[in-house]
Amino acid sequence: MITDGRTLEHGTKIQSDVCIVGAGPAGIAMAREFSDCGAFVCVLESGGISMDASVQELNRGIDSGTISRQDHLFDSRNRVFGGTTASWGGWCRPLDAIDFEARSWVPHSGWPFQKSHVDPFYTRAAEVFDIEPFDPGSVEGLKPPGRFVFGRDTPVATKIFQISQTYLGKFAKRHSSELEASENVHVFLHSTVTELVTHDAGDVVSRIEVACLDGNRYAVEAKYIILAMGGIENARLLLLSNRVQSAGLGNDYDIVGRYYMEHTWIDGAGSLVFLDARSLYEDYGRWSFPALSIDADLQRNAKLLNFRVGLEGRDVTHSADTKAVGKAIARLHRPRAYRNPDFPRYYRLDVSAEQAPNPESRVTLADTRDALGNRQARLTWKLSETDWVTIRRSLMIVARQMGVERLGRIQITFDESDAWPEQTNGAHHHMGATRMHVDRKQGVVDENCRVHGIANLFVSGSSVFPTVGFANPTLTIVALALRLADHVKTLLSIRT
Amino acid sequence: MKRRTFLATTAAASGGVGLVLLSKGCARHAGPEALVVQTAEQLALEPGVRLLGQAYLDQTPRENQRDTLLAAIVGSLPSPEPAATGDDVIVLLLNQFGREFEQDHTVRVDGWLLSYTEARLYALAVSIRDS
Repeated sequence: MITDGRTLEHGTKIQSDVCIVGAGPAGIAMAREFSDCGAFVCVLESGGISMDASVQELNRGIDSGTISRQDHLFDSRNRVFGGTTASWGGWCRPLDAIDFEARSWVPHSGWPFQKSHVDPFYTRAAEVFDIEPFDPGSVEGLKPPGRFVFGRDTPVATKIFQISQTYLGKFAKRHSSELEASENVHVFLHSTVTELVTHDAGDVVSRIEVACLDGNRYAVEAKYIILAMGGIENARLLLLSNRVQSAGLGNDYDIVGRYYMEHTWIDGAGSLVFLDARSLYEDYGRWSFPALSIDADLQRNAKLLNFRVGLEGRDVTHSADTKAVGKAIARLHRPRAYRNPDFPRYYRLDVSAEQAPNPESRVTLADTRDALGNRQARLTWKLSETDWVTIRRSLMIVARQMGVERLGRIQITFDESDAWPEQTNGAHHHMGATRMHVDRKQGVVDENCRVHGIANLFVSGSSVFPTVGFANPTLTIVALALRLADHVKTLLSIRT
Repeated sequence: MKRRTFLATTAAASGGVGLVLLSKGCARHAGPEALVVQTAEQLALEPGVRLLGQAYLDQTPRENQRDTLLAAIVGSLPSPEPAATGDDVIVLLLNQFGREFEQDHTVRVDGWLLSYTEARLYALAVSIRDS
């Protein structure tokens, strides 16, 4: 059932077994799991079925840090049923096994479990997005595999992404009718959670305060509460909920909001002249594509973070100089082929790299307030030298391998000595601000995504990622959401 | 076969790239040097070679002499067979480029990662073109 929260009587109190805060990919995936399970599940969504400018205004905040960005908090998030899948490109890929490991050269790295533990949930998440499961037993997951750019035993690995057909708002449409028809899952729209109120001891959330922009207010009481509000809002709500615990919930050790990460994105980091008349995309079709990454063993040996470089060959215009150089290189390397108009192929190189966990990169509360009277988020996204070294060195490794394999030449648009290039940005993936760690002094949530010190409060979403690899986070967000749904069902004595 | 006829034949064999230049460069070189010069002359027809070659000369002014570049290129190659053709030298060059990438003997030229011998070949082409 789906209801507009503004139509509830002011002061209404709703009782539920589970309350999911947020109807983005994590919230919707969990709500589907609870459908027809016997428990009453309440889903609170700040936005409506379609985008509403006044609701979207609640996303505004203060953005500062290494890279100057205007309106990032506003532009990179959607308060609407379906969450940020409304502007999602559909890119799906699991994290790599190395991303879960504690790496000696990456401080604060290591998940409480290995990738093999998450693999069954990745398979279930693939069903949610209507993509092929990534088979962990095969080299790169897909059957049949696309063409590998390099061989299989080289320092540069070919990584495959799938594109879900539920991109750009189709995810919400696909799943809304199922939730509309559900008898035990009740979605309330235009319902923004403003505070989690605990008992005096501060270890159990007793009430969830909800506000609508028209002034209506109501409350929810639930046995279990799951925050699925997005990578920044999860941390913000914990910080805002400071009525009993002055630092906010789960924040005894000042971890909430810290270790905030994004995938560092550099558009047009370089160009590739590829000495082949055939497009790299030919073997992949419409719904998957390759990218290049550094082999895990080389990451270990060279002490690098994870990294990928995308080969963008569609709808890209290359400069006359790049094409002239390409023809010159082609004439020397393939004198019999260079007159072919499709030869060589040109690709723009777009980098998306892992950011190292950094306690100084963080979400805090600003002094400015939103329309509901709550303090806005202040985002201080801080990059480190490790992040920059990884990008520079990894791109050089890829460029070198192109030469070793005689496949082409790469131009890198920045120098070793440069500071962060002007086109550096985040990939709009907000991660790490309520990180997972078994030790409450090092993490906000435990291995089951329960907030340390709060018996009935859980967090879902990329904010729990301790490290982030290079893969876009949505598939992992949903995999972990399904895992969490299983866990909460167990707590409710519901068979999974 | 006269020398000029030989060069024209090998040029045609090296891919039908329309080589018509039998320049002063070839005239004062013989053996592998002549074949490298011939390859550079073909490349000199490509506008993109100027971008790479000139950038290399600008960042490495001490090599800004044709004989210096030619000696460095030929010195990096294994000796070709006495009857080697332009095609044979191109194969030697491409193999050398690959080896230099394996050995990390590379140089950034206008952002492009090239092997040193490759970069010098583009520079030689510019040098010949400008002479």
